[in-house]
Amino acid sequence: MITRALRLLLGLFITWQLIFLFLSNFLPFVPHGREEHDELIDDVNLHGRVTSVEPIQDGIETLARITDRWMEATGQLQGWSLFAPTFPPQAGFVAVKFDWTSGPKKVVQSPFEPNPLHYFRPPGTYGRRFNYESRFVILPAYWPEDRLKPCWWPWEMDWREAITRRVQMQWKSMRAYLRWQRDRYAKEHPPPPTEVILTVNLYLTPRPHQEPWKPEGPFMRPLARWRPEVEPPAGCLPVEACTDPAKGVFEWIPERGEW
Amino acid sequence: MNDSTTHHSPLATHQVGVDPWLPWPLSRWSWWTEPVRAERLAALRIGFAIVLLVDVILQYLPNYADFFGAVSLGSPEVFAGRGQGHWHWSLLRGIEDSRLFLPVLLVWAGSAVLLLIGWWPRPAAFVAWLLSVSILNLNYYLHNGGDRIRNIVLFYLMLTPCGAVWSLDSFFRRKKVNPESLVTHHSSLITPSFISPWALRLLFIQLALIYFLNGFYKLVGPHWRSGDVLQSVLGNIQWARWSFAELPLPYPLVQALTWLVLFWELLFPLLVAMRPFRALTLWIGVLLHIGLAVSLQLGLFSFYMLCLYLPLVPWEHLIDRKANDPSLSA
Repeated sequence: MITRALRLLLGLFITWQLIFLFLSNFLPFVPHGREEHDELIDDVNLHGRVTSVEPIQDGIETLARITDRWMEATGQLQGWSLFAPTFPPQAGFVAVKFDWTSGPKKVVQSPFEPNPLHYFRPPGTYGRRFNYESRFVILPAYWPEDRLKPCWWPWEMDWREAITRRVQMQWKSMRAYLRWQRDRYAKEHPPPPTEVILTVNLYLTPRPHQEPWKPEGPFMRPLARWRPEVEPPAGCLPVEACTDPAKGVFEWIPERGEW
Repeated sequence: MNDSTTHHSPLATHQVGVDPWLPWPLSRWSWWTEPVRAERLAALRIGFAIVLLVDVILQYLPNYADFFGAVSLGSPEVFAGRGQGHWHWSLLRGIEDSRLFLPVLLVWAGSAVLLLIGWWPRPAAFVAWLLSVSILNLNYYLHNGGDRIRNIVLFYLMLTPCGAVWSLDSFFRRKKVNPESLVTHHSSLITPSFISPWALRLLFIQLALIYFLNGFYKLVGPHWRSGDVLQSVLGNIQWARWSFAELPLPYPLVQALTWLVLFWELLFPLLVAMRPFRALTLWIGVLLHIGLAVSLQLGLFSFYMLCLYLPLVPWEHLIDRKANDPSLSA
């Protein structure tokens, strides 16, 4: 009896897994749900509605919710699109600029930033940090320096809007990264800086057939500023967004954008 | 997708684990119902455990205080939102003292060792899965697609008799049943162990979906269609392991590789379903992953992906050939 029940349970589980695999990989093409405002989650779903017929849309929403919850509960995250559909025209490396109320500024570069014409990175123990820093590079890597407007990105928005949204999403990880860098630096070089700026150094990848092969750059692109001792205005995030990279203008931005 | 290499002999066989009840049409499809040799799952367990062990020891342990705990890169407030309105859980959420992550990671490494040697492999896989999901959700930005595969494989390993062969468990079991069998005639090879193929089939479908979806997204990209992307990837100093200036590849070759990747991924489910193309399709996959691991900074992604190929190797042929070869047996 127990064996039969086990066989039945296992069979049901297998059937559900099969359905789940197809739903979780193909439902993202059917518009449903809303865009998330929290840290990047690699969401590949198309958002919005596929139909104005409520019962159909409700059914899709329910199906997506069930699939998502199972995916999250079992850790079987889906969403597979390595270097696709687009690949950024630039490479980017995080750099952190420290500033004190007096004295010279200091820039700490990412250990991953190489001499573009001469480097080799053997496998090592740094892969996880590389992944983390890459999350800050995604947006600017798509925005070449000569045109601070959308490049291959399908959204129609300007840099100011894009960076504002990005900081609204990523301000917690940005602050964590800046705080971690500040603490590391201050441990060996006290006192701690009063201002920490998250910057990305960009290198434009040469186009095919471009001679000589030499990435242009680095172009320094400030993204966000954290001033630990300054209280943000009410309703604003503790991290400021760099809305004008050319002039180095940072602005307080509201906690949640009306997207 | 019947595969004669996995068919079992009616002679002395031994099936391990629960044989599931399957609904129609799965119940009529031998690909789902025909038991397969347990070595296929054992190979996945062993290969995967090695990659997991390397991952924990080399990628997490040296930097755990930077990654986890208060004021670290994974400070509890950073990814707390993953749990809100979602079921992204972590047993480790809220732990602020980074020193506590050292024993956690050691337990994780320990579970990988148990998985490797096949001693209590399913509980070991369960512990490894708990920690794998917990760690991923605790500091999501440390991870990439390879870690998703890590979670998925562990999820299946904990539900399957992955220690049926090539494990300390099976060694002790045989010793208990028949102490003589350990020293005479390779008895475990004469009475081979079989398992229900469901987990391997689901993992294979997962593999096919990964490739197909990757191929589909690539097809949407104009630079993939024009064959430019691999030039951009290999020339991108953020992702490439070496400077393209020092080791350039001819553009026609890179363009051909771009199209190969695009169409191979897109057509993978179809090609692998057709027997004449199956072996070639899988070999291309292995070579592409080796190429990715060598040329790009993708962490252990390629290695976790390659683990999914291990159950596709006809291990039973190699073993049976060895057992039947008097010179090797002697």
